Amino acid sequence: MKSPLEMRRVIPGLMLTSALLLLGGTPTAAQQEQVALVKVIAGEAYALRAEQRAELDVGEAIFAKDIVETADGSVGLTFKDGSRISIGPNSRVQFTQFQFAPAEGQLSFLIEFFRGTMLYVSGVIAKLSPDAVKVKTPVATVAVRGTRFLAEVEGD
Amino acid sequence: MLRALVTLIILLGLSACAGNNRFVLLEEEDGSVGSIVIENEAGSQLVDEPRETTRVGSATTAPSEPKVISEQEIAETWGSTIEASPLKPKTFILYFIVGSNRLTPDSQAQLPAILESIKEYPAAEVSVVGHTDRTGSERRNAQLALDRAETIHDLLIAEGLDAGLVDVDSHGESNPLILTEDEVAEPRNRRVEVTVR
Repeated sequence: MKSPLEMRRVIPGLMLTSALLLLGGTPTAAQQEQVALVKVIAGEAYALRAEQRAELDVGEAIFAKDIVETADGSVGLTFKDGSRISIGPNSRVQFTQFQFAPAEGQLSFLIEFFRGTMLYVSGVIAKLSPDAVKVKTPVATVAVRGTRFLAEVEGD
Repeated sequence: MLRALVTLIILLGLSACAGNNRFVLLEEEDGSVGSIVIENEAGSQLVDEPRETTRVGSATTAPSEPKVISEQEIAETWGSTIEASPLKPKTFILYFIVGSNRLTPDSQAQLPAILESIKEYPAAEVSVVGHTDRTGSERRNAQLALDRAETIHDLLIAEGLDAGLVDVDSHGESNPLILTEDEVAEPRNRRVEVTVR
């Protein structure tokens, strides 16, 4: 039996959940969740989201499911858990899934690295749940044990 | 002769398919060395020494035995990638005087350094995350940690931090500094971590 005080906390939560369900909500909410900020840009880099291709500047937000790509340039991102990912020229990467809510036990970071060069430096997600971080490439998947590594992938 | 020719053609064919895909483990910035496991349907390879590299020809060939490559080889392929890596986030750990919502003198003394470090980061963001030890229920600890984080948040705003840069969160008892069994009191885990990134 919950005390009246606890119920008062639970009810707004339920109402919010129902509102989200009514809006057909969670996928949209997940797509719009900011996961990283652009910290370094050399040359040009782009984000592909909602069928738009936008040039990136320092300070711009990266959202879950965004694809980031470069031609001549390179770009560095810092994620909400302190993970850092930078890519060099002719690279393409997608941040397919990013969940960082340790108190709710929700931790996951799935990166799809299609081509180019990348440096990954782990953050809190990898520290709390090493199995939660995966980097998928066309030739192999990298499981990360709290670390810093480089990848080079030729792609198609 | 014919056999040699066929072998040559097969070898050429293989090398054409064999993509230049490499995975290189690096030392972390604090000098420690982690590990990565590279896996596909043909096999899996642990890489756990600094600059050790495995090559993967294709999705259907196993990752190669790891081999250490030189700093120079790394710079040739990844020079601009490494240069684009953002600055390492900086974390400040703050403690309260037991039974109060006032910071210890050591923690109080760190506040100017937090505000100062924000200037070092392009598009700086600050996260203020509350933590508890494992005494009491998980749910209560999640709330307690949030209360602690909000206290620090207000303090930083009062010191002049731009509220738009800060997010406040609670990790409850799930992200301890010191690992303990459940229901163990550990003062070092009752903290707020302020990370500038």
